[in-house]
Amino acid sequence: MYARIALGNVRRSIKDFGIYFLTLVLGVAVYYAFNSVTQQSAVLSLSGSMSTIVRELGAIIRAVSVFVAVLLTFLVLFGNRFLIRRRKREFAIYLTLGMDRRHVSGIVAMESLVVGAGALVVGLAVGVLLSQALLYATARLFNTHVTGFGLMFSSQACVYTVVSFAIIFLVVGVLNVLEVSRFKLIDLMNADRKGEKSLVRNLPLSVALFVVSLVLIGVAYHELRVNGMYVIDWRFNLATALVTVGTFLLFFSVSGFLLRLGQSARGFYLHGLNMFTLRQLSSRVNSVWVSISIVCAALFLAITSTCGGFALVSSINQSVSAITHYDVSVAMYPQATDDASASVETTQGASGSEMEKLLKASVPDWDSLVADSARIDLYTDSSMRLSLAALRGDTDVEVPDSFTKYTNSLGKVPIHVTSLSQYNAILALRGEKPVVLKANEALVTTDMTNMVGFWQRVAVKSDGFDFLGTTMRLRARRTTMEYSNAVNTSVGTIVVPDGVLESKRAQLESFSNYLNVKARDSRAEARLYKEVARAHQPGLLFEAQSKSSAKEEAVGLTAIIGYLALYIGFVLFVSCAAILAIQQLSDVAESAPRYRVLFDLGAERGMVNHAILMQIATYFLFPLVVALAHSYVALGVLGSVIKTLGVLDFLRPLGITMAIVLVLYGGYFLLTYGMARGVLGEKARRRE
Amino acid sequence: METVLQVHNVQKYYGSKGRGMGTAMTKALDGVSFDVRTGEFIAIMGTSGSGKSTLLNCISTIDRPTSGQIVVDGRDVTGMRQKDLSRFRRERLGFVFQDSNLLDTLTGEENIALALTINRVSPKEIPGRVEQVAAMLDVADVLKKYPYQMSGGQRQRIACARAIVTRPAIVLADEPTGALDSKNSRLLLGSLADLNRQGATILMVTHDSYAASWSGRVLFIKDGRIFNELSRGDESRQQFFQKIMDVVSFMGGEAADVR
Repeated sequence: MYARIALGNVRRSIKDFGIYFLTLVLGVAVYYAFNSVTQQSAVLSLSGSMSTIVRELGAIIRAVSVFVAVLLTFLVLFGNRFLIRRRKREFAIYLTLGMDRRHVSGIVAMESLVVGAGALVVGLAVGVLLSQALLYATARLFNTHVTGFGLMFSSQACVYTVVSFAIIFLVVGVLNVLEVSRFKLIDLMNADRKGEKSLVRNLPLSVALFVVSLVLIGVAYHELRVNGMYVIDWRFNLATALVTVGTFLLFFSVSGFLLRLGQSARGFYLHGLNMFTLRQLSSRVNSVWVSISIVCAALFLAITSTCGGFALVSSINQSVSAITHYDVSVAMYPQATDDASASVETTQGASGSEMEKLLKASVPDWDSLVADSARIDLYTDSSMRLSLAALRGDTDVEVPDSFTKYTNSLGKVPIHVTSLSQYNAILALRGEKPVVLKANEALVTTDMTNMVGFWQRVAVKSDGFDFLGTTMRLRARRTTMEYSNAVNTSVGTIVVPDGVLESKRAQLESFSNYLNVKARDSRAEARLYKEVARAHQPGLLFEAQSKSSAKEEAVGLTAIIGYLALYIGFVLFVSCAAILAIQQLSDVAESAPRYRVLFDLGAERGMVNHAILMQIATYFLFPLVVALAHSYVALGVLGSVIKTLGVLDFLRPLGITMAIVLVLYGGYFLLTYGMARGVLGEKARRRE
Repeated sequence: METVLQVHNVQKYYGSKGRGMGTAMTKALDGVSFDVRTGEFIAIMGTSGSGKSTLLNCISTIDRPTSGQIVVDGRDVTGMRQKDLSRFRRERLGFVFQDSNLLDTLTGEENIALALTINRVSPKEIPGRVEQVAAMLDVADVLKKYPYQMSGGQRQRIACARAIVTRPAIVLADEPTGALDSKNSRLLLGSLADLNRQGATILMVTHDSYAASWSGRVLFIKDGRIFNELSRGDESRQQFFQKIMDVVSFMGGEAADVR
């Protein structure tokens, strides 16, 4: 009997449940699809390291899924609360008819169960399709193919999804039952008549608060832009606090402000249903400003993480092609050993050429694997006579903005030294022409793109600098140079003629030594990479970075960041859109009597539809615009941090993010508008 | 005087039509005819179920009669298309409902102005016209208030102001005193009579003899037909009330309605 009522309710109010159901289905599908990533390694033909990456990715996604599950719980709770609130009258009828509270709770629990189970089944079906798409995406990303039939069903992800959602529905079901059993009959009967008070807001106060909120946000933006977030100090925390308070205040006061603004523009206010729309917006604000603020925060998180994630991905992809200048590059370090009985007294003082010899000795078939190689030895002056400040001298060329924030004393930024012959050997390995220097000339180089311009300006203005007692002229002929496959390591390295270096050698100490190798072919490259990793010499440490290993690592990192950005972004966008949609639809339903009055007064369908559109658009757009503004500032700051490490292009990632917003958020918007029109259509027909 | 409303042999049937056993049919209106002239204050009386609400719905274009003609301001509304109807309704008709039906989100002033903005009246004209009708109905002091801050009588007078501010051909009032206590009823009826003296044509549907006694002419409806008609002429309101009471008790002894 009660089951029949519950089923009947769900069937009858399919429209009310519609958006809620759709959101659940999307939630389940995405949850399943991303959790199935772990098992992609089973059907993809992947190399060892790649399948490790895929498994790692799976583990990270699983961890993030806990956060996603909590988020979805809140979403489901929110949706349920609205659905239940709208049905207070119905519950009142059950209770007046003498139905037990227990049974009413039973009906509610049953409904949740039906909707939840339905969503789970449909969601899993959609999820299987979605995971298929993800599978092929991964395959493309890792440049591999799907083995076997390629149809993947991850029972593990399925169980995980079912258990997670069962817990979510259980929690929500219990809370629903609690809410229903707390209902008082008198409140249920009067449910429709409540909420008429507190419609009026002190308008001047709203306007004042609105201005205050803008000022707060403006100050926070300024703080962030000026100070950035190189250091998370009290100023950064203050800015965060200001922007948070400002945002809440903004949503608290904006409708009052808009109303006041509208009222002062008579021609606008007294046109069509504008007056009604503005009043309608401001009458809702008391009940929605908190949730709108939270939606805005979630959207901010979604935009920033999605856009930031994609930007990182493209930045990594760019730098992977930028960093792999050499097939294999081996960093050679002297290593302190605590093995006292070892025959090595100190390899600490081992020179570059000695280490190179030892390396070659420990790799079998070195000569058959290597076509060509070039070593570079970098030196430094520990007494800091060679620093950024020393080289700049009195030229007053400004150091790149992001750089000054990252360190406070340019005198403490060391400059390294290497010899012209080694520099030219590396150029030869790269297939480039050698550089010629006069005896009193020093060439400055860097591998940080944002430092290139600085050095070129310094070289033009400088009349020379003191190189450990000898005045040398600074040249910037071929300034961009990477000495190994490691990324962004050199703020500035000066190349001096061999004779000059030799004469000052005693004042310098060894800083780092790299051996860059051109392999005979790709198989030799892989072999060499493996052998170097295995190579062992007492007191020495070899670290190899090969072109292909760097690429694999980058692809792996790309996949992890990209998937996480998609996953979190998708769930957050859908959650926000669903909250707004449910809120707006229940708002339209609650305001039905008001729309009836409009029809009574002879308002046309078109006019009323326009009013509805304006309301829904305001609710959807406003938090999005504010979130976009916040994200713009945050990404700008974040971008300048990352820029110190490399280039970051936000245009394309922003495009992708906006496309996601357009499809998901826009889809929910259109759906909401369509359904709201449907609700109104019934009202209108009843009058016409 | 000009005829503003012509109701000609209007029938309204509910239920299945021509489906074999046509016994389920209800005749809500069964050949009703009458005219209303410009400047009249006419009351239509009847018990619940008499068909008076159906008649009002047909005149107000909310419902369509099964047959017959309703001509408002020279135009037959029974054949009009939906789109023309809402335009016709907002331009030529004014409504006063039992529950004032004001928008709770708008102030009194804005509620009145809304009827004008829906009619696309120039914003420059609106404040003046609102003040004018507010003065006529003695609600100038509650214009800035919200409906929930007003008394029932004030709300209903704001609703009247909203109905006449568009200068409709005819004001249709559906049990306008139904939700008011006797003092506020008297005030509202006085206002309606005032409006009528200043030229408004009013058609009021009521089951209350006292309310009807404020009008100039009363039509009695029973079982979907016009049962009787009374004109006040030069009589006092009290005398007219007595005559109405006589008809009412003759119609079916509705002693419960006697005040």
